[in-house]
Amino acid sequence: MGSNLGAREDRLKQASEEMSLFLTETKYSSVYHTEPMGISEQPWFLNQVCVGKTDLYPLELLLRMKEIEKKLGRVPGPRFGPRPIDLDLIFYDHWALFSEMITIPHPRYKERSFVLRPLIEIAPEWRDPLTGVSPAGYWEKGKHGFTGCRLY
Amino acid sequence: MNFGVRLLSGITPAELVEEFKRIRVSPEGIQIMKNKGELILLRIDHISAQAASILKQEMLAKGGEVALGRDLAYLREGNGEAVLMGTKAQYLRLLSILPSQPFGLGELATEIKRVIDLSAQTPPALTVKGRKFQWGKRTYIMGIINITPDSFSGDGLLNRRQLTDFLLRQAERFMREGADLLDLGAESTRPGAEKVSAEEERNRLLQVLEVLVKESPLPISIDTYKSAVAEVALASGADIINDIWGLQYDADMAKVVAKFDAPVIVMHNKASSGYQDLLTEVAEFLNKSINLAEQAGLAKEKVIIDPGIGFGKTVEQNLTVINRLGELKALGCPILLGTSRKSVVGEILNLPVSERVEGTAATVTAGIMRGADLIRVHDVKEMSRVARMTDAILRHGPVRDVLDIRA
Repeated sequence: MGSNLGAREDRLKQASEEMSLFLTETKYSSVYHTEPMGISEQPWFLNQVCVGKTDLYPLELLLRMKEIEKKLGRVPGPRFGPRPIDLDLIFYDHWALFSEMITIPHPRYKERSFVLRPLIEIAPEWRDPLTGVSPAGYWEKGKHGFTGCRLY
Repeated sequence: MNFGVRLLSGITPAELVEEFKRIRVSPEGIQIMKNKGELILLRIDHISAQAASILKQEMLAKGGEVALGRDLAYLREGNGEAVLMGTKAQYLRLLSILPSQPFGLGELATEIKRVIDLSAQTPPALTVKGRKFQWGKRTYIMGIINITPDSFSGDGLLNRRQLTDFLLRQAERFMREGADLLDLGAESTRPGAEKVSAEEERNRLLQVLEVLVKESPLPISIDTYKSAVAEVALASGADIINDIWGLQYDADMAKVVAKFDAPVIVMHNKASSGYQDLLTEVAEFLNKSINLAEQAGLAKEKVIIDPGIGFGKTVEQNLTVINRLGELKALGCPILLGTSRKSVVGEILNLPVSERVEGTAATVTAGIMRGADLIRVHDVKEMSRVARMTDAILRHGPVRDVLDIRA
């Protein structure tokens, strides 16, 4: 979950409220402050990761998340541009799906410190189904590059 | 290091198992892997968006894939089509979890299993007039005998005796040249030929039928779509009905063939050549014909299907049907292909009727390689040789027995 526009903390809260309709046994990581990628001259992001259980299939889950993004005001714009709320599905249990409509685990999660750090916090035992590597393992590999990500 | 990499092609599942044995794969390994070497592309004509979504994700999770139209996938409602892709092993794993899913996926699993099983099987053997047709063993030849005016070159009407003698000699010649059965037609189905009344057709047929039935050991099929003609012909000793309207023109036809327990050839036909989806519509038409036969009380083993080359199809459509003939195997019936001297050959080669032997031969070979079990031809000598040679390539080993007399 990420937000860099407007009342960022509120948006994260709203998003988690919306998602509680289909996510149970949820665990939320601490909120992190992240330097924006790509286009500069933007406010810093607030990022958070949530782990939970759901009855929905991955595609339905993703579509519901996109609906919440729209509801909370995300408009299509430049990639890496400012956004009120951004919700990404990182993993779905041990499933590995690669298709035009959905790719999980998220293809770029292992290069993002703002995903890895919170994951290490709340889901350290999860393993990437394609490689067997844990979030901590990927953190160590260091591909995530920039260090501009710290506790908020 | 030279790895010696090579593609395997034209290989059946049974041959793949042989290949495994040749490289000394363990028996357990063969069991697990034989299904991983068989790719299945399967088409679903009607599926709801909810079912399609679950199907796609479950198949993806097993390493396969399901292609869906964008509307079906993203709008999440309505109905549409899907194409499933995967190895047989992935399909079997999919089939084991689908029954526990909602949205009719349990029924879908049953249908998928049925289609996959049918495509791998050969239809049960059929015995007609003491001759056993063991589908899959070799290609069977049906010789065309025409008793229409346009099959005689303007010599005036032959009298009954001359006509009968002429046709009897033709039947004997066909048998010598390799025919397994004869197809008798009294109304020309060529485009533009004049229609005849049931009465006229019946008279022409009866003149010769009695003699042919007695004198020729080959099973006799009657090319008619009129139940009245069929009834009289079967009562006079004919063995099979060849209906160019697949039991769907004359509502009494199914009853008649069932009454005589006679095998029936059902052909796809259409007044125009406009199709939404060619193969789907041909398959659906033939499926309906099969159902009509079964509902009337005729066993499915006695139904032979014919995709109707040259009937309600453009040149390109005819070529497509021949090329994709294998898709009709899922209907579970032996397939008859009739392309002899037809305009699809004439158009492609730009040749008149008298010059279409080689073109016909090409369609015969292509059809057999794609799954035809029976071919209907004018040039029995030539096409019998073509079929035997094709069988030797396709079914491994020269076929020595031309006549199977005992059931």
